Amino acid sequence: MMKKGWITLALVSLMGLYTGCANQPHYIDPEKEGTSTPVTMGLDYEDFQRSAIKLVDSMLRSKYLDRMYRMKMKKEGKPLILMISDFVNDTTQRVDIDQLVKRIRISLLDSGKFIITTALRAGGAEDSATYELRKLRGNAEFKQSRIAKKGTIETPDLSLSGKIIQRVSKLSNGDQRVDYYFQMSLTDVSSGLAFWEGEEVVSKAGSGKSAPW
Amino acid sequence: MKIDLRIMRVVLLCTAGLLLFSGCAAGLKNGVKTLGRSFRSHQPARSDTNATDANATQLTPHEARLKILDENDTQDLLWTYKAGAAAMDEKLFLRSTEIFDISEQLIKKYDEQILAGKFAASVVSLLTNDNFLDYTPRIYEKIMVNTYKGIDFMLAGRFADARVEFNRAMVRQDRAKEFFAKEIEQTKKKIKKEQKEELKKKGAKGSRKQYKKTLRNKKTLGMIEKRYSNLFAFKPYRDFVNPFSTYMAGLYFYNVHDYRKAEERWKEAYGMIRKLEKGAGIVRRDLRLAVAAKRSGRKHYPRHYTWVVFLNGEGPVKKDLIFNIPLFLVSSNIAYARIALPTLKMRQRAYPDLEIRKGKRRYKTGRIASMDRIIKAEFKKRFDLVVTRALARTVTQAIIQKQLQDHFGIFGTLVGAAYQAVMNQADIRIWDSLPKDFQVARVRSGGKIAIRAGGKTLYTLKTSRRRNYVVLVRIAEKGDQPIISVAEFK
Repeated sequence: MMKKGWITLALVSLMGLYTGCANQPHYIDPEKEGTSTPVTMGLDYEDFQRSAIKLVDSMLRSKYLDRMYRMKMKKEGKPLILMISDFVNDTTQRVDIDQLVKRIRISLLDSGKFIITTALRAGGAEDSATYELRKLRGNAEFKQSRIAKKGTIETPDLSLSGKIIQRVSKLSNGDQRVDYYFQMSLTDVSSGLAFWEGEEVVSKAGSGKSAPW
Repeated sequence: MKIDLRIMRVVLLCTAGLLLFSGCAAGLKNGVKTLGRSFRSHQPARSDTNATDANATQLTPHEARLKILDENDTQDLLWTYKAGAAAMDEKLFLRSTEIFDISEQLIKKYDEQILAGKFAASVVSLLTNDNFLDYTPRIYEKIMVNTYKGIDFMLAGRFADARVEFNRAMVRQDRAKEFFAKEIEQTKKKIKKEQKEELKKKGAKGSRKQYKKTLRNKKTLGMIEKRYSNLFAFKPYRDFVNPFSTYMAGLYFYNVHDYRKAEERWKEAYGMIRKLEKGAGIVRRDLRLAVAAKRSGRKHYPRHYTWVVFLNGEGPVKKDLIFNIPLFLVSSNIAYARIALPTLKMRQRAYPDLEIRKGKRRYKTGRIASMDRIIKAEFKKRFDLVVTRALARTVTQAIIQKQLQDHFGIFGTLVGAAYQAVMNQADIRIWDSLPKDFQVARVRSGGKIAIRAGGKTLYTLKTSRRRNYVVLVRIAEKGDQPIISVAEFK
């Protein structure tokens, strides 16, 4: 009698566990499976963090880039100047793409190989102060000797652009799979050639009951 | 002991019946509103078909919109739709997106519940009057919520956010068919289960035969079908798609210079409406433009255009249709019961089309999608289920009523009748501020562009030859002050 009770209890709790977990969203990255559990089928902090780190690692390992950096250091004694270009969020998630870009910028600056210009960005300057200050030329209230001369803003060597794409597919068990592709290109602006390209895929699978956002 | 229980039950039922009765006496609307919060609320104040509130008819469209926004009933899905659209018409674009965000949260909650096979939120069963239940989202509404949000963001100049919304609308369209099949299957299961439970709870016994006979009676179904034959005689678009949403996604992508995506969307939209809508030619020309822009290899195609998008008239409202249907409770004896089913009542366009004048040239807007057609198509697809539910509900009630009568005589009849009077109401709630149809025209940018309707100039826009424009014109009723918003693209 006692034994039967135990078996029933075990079965019930197993069922509970099973129903509890079956539809939880989970990562399906084979390398790191089980290291963490995503909160949503959307994009979250961790997705940005992971993708940014991996992309920067890949960028810094690039041989072309390393050669370019050495040449510039030899010639001018300055690291490469990078401009941030278009970043497109082509998903169904409302994310702040600057958040992703910021993380990448920080890591790139830390590497010592890059300086990032804030005077230029697709769609206008990121920090307008550079231009605002130049408007003060001839203004008697300001010490003119300290106002930047013409032709002093550095022209970038490279431009970084990117895109996040999303693909939604249905799995045979009725769940859905969502893949997010973080793509980035580093272009030499003087030649228009891409020096480095990277792609990071974040894949999630979970309940197909509602839309993945 | 057994008798005591019976007496208790009679007293309880009588009280419930009286309570319901008192609600009905004061006008069903009020009685029900306390139970089902959103019952028939938020009807447009100025619409002649629904206005019950004498004061409300005095409101101008602008006042009516502000009134809806004031209600702030964020738990009610139907309110969020109407308020989101009202905010858009008031040009509070970001407020509109915030309200539609709430719609999406409520939709998500519903989707997750229904596909899990539970209706946790509704304590009331599917066998009660639909009006007691929370309003549940239709597929076309979900698609329109994202489309409207996309337009909102576009008009607010937040183009990156607009992209997300148009992407969402497209994902919703892709999933629609599959989701709908699941939803119907789950609802059917639920009805079946509840029939049994309802009878058990009330201590009545119903046989499967009684249900089968009533629910599958050819005469009954034939009678219902006949009354709906006019409404159901139309050519639908393919599965749940909304050509307007797809077209607008294309228009958005074109104007943010993603010509490849614009081509894809416009090609799809053209495929949906070819041979169905007069404006198909306009979409075909847009498609050619996207192809030319893509082939040019330029990031910004040097020719610039102005699109006029016309949201014309008012979409359908719902009303009751009453039927007397036979109930097969005992094989030898047929009783009749009154049931109410919802039907769609079409409303008017504001104008047949808009005329666009630029210099000496004249253009007309052409219809690229009909909201009527989209709503009708989904209504038709859900109709079987609505009938099944209404019939199942009626049989269940009739069985209960009959057994009350058998056991408790006059008291039982009274309670049962009260119960039936309240239960047999059709659910006529609907998002009634959607337009009747969508029209489009495109002209080259540069100089003055006049938008005219009914022989009058409604709006004049000064355009630059180096800019693209999207002009959104919303006119709900003929003679209304047109609501015009412009998005400008480099």
